[in-house]
Amino acid sequence: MIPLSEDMKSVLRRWNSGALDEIERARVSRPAGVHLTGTAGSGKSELCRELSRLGGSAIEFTDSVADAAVVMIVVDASAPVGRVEVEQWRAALESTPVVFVVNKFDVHRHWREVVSADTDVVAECVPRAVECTFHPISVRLARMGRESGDAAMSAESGLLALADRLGVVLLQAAALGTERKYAAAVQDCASEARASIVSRARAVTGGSDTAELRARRAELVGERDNLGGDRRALLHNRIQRVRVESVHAAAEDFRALTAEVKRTIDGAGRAELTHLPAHVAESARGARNRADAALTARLRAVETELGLTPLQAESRVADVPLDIGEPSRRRGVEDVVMIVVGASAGVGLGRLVVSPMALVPAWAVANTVITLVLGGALAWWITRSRSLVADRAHLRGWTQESVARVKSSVEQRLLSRILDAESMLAAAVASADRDAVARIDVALAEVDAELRRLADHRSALLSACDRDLSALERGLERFRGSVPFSPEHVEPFDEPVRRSQ
Amino acid sequence: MRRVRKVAAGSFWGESIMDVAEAGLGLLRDRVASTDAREAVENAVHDRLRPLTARVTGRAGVGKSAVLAVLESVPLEADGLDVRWREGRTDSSEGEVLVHVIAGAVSPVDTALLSSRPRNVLDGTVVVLTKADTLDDPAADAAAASQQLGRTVLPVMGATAAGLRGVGRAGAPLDMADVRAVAAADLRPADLMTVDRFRAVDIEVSTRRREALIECIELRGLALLVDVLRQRPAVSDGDAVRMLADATGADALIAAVSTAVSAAAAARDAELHRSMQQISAGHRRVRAAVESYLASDEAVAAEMRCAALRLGVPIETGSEQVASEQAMLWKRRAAAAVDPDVRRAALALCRGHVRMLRR
Repeated sequence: MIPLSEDMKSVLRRWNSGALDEIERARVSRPAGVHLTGTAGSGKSELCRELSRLGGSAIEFTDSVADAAVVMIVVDASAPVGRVEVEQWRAALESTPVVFVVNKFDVHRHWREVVSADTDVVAECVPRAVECTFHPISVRLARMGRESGDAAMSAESGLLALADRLGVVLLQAAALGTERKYAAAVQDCASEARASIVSRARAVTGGSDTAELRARRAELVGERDNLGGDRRALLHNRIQRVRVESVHAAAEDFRALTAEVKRTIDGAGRAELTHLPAHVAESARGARNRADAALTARLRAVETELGLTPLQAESRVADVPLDIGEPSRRRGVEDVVMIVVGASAGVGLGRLVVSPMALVPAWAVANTVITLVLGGALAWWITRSRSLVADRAHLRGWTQESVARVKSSVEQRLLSRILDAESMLAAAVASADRDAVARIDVALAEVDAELRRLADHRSALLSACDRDLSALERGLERFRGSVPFSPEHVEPFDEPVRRSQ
Repeated sequence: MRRVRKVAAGSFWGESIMDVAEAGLGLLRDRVASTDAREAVENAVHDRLRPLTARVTGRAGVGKSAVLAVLESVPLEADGLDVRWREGRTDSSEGEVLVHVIAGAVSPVDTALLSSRPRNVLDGTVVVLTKADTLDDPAADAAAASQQLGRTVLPVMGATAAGLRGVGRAGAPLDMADVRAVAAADLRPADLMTVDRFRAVDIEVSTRRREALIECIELRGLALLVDVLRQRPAVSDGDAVRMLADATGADALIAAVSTAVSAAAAARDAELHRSMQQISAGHRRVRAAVESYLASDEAVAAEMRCAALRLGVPIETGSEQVASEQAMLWKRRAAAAVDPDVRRAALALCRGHVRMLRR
């Protein structure tokens, strides 16, 4: 028996762990006997019986293909076998001489076409068959010939020829069986190893191991390309939005404050008007603080959205008092005119009220006194009321002016803060982008290094696969042409068919 | 391809159901012609009336052609639909009717193909164990195959049946004079065991005529006829051929395929009614027309036939009393049924019998 080369052994050990054991088992095996198999209902049992009767105990049957010296496959002549059935017998055909028996030719008159089709399908499906001869027989004819003692019928049945063939093959198997099993085991294990190598090489060249890395690289490159522009555009957009929203919110707040103060002034008394400036100052400070706090919150949101660490310090504006001044009112000539007109009107009204009393001369003194008192009281009341109205008008004007001033200063402050924030954020974004580009470059370099390493590994692996395949081929070269076929069966597929026909 | 006209099951409507059905469907099409559901209805009706696809499948060399020739030689009841027969290998189990042919043992390929078909009374599948003339006990082999496949397997002498019908490979009818000459000759049983032996035997019939006989009815068919003629020399040619025809199992095959074709046609009806109900649910304007069609005699008859096939029962016809008794019987069965499909089928049968009473 041809020994395995060392490099083939190492290749088999690497790619097919059980191969060497299997080859060793085949090397030391001593095949003997016939393994009978075939399709259901093809007459295997009857054939077995007839063969036993024909050859006495000369033919031994075995249950295992591995131990068998010959495999006898029995099919019937009703229809050709299909590829599925032949695939089941592939191992037997590739390792052991096979006697392919087509039974029942007596009842199927187209048996010749069936045998021919069976020959073709076996030759096509199992090109590496060790040796396969086809025998059309009729077990029924053999049985009837035996029972009736009709020698012609027995000879016609083809069973005698089959028994002769079995005897020859079994004799050859005694000498060549182990070697055939050994060669078949080597071929089989080498095929499995080759399939493993090819599948591994396909997996490697398919690039499935680098797919993830390549995707990661593309992702990093895309991230770097889109890095600067996106964030700058986002910053610009968000700052514009913060500006519009903040100014609008502050204006709205101050408008509400003005409306509320005006309502308060309309219903306020003299005492309340005194405290109103302080209240207006307090409310304006509140509105200013709210606008400031809202701007801070909005800028924080922008920072978060841009993925920056908080840069904005808390605004200190809450601590700063707001001086909106006091309403200064100087009494002028119109106030004097108002007092005179009020006194005059009061006296006039007093006189009008007491004029019926002037008809009684006795009440003249009283009438004068009452007129003076009443006129004085009415003059005081009119003067005072007119003064309150004038104060309210003055306060309304003052409030509008003060709130407008405060609003203007708040808007100026807001815009100034927004400008500061924009420049700070732009600087921060630029700095963060620089950091990110540096980080991405490092990651890209790592990915590229890994890809280069994998490419080197892949070429090394493919070289190893090529080397192993070459080693297998070299190892198999020794076995090629050395598979022992029987010398008288150069064309194993056709010869017995011709004989039976 | 042939066009086969079928009379309604039991002929209880008194005229061809296809004529009535086509008339009813034509009326329905007219009524929905101006609506937006016209295309859907046209498609559903077209699907109902398109030819039935029937396939004969099996491994190469099993004898599909002979079985196909037998089936093509008889008119099959398909509710007036065209039946298009096709021969195929074992790569696809498509087709509304499938006649799968096996010879000898069941192959894994056969099992795989048949397991891909649904398994119910309306699946339209028939399995044939052909070349039964080559088997010692065809009935036992068919029973074994039935058990293995989980379907009824019919033993058939395909080539003999085709030859008897004059559609076999020979293409010529059986010459009974030659058969009688063979029967009259001094033949031993062993002479009819193989074709070569029969060719070689010394009798008056020429080898060419002997080969023609074998080509027509196979050796086993000839042996059966010879047996019959020897046992009963006075039997007429027609009776002898009839006895051989009975032995071929072709009648059982044709009956099974007819049932499968009817089942396929009934399944078409069921599908049409289902489609119509869906269309009427989606299009309010055609609801009245569809409901009117579904309440028509032909639709009720189609539902009844489909239900009878589903339950595997014949439709009992006869006098008014029979119809009345059947209606009551199916009403009771519908009330007692647990399975909703059985209840629906029993109600369809009850409704059909009531409709028969009204007529």
